[in-house]
Amino acid sequence: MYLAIDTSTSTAGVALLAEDGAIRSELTWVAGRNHTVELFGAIEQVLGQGKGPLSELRGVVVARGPGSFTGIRVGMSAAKGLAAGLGLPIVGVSTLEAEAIPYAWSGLPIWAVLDAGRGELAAALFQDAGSAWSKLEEEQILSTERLCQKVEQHSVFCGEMPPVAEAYIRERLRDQAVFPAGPARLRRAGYIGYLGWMRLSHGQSDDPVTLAPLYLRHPAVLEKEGGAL
Amino acid sequence: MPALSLRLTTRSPEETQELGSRLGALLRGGEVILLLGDLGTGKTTFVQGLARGLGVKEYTKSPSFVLVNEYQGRVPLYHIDFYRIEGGAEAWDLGLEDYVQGPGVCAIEWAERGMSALPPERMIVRLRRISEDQREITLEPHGTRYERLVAELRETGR
Ligand SMILES: Nc1ncnc2c1ncn2[C@@H]1O[C@H](COP(=O)(O)OP(=O)(O)OP(=O)(O)O)[C@@H](O)[C@H]1O
Ligand SMILES: [Mg+2]
Repeated sequence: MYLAIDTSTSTAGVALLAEDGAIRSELTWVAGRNHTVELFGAIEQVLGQGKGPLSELRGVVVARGPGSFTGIRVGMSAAKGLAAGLGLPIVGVSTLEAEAIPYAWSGLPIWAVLDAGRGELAAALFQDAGSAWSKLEEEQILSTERLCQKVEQHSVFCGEMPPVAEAYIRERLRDQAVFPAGPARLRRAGYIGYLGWMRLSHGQSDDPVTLAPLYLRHPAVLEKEGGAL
Repeated sequence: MPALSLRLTTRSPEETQELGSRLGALLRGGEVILLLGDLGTGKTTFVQGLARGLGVKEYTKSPSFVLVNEYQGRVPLYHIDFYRIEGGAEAWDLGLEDYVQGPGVCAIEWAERGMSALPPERMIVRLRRISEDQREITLEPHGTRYERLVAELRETGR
């Protein structure tokens, strides 16, 4: 069995997957800023409900971000700790890819976004063209306006979209922008697990030492500065 | 000095704290306050006043960001020091954004060392040493929310 952990944003999730990738149990909840306190209880609950004792785990999957700095680190260190303690392989997964993968079947370009604060978005573009699932634009921080400029055809928009950004995209792109409705937008650790399972079940994994959070830097942030103002 | 700024002179650390406290009492959470001024001009003294105005009673150490001391008041106060920071990138990579986006008030000493990582809407507090006991303090609002704060502060000062 495989355990998936996602603490990328205020919405957190844990899932347990069987050897064949089927979800055995899954929990999604609003953690706010309490990931540290709430994560281990959630893991115990998901393992118990999915009847997956720790001894049957074969790998750990963790969401690498983008997302909140502290949030991602809580999940990352929990996942690394479990993997090291149990001697299991670990895989890191893009949080935005997990947002996009549920819409792969559409064949459309899929923009997965998260709120990057200050009116900007963290976004990446995915598409299942033919039989290959690929990332067409790397995770990046950009304005909603810039995002719209990049859209050339009918596209799906998913992820934790700030309401102002959604209103802007709808207004500007009209019929070109497709938005999944309501609860379909909830990010699920089951998809984090699914993406990780695809690699783990093929014997692939990440180096636990170099596996790092995908923490995007705002483009305006400078390396060096200082002096008087 | 921009027209909406407020400039005054304090004659003791207590007066500087008092000014900080009056500002603190007006804060609702989510504000960013940058403290600019040379060594020993009273930045920390001002933040102590802010803490009082925010009703801070107990002291906690922030677990994840070593440059931050987090205090629990009416809303949280994140007391941040950029003294050892070299550039916005370093501040950003240490997780500053979670505090700036957080529910509390960010008070940042030596903000000029990582300005690019900070949001454009903010209150700048400039401190200048006039004499051993006197400091010229200028509150410079950037953004309507901060302009309103300065206006309210003028009211409470009457
Ligand atoms: N009017 C005044 N306002 C504030 N501090 C004053 C005043 N007059 C004298 N002082 C003294 O100046 C010093 C200010 O120290 P403080 O730690 O607040 O400065 P700082 O700007 O935070 O320094 P640093 O750059 O080292 O962080 C204190 O010793 C305080 O007693
Ligand atoms: Mg100081």
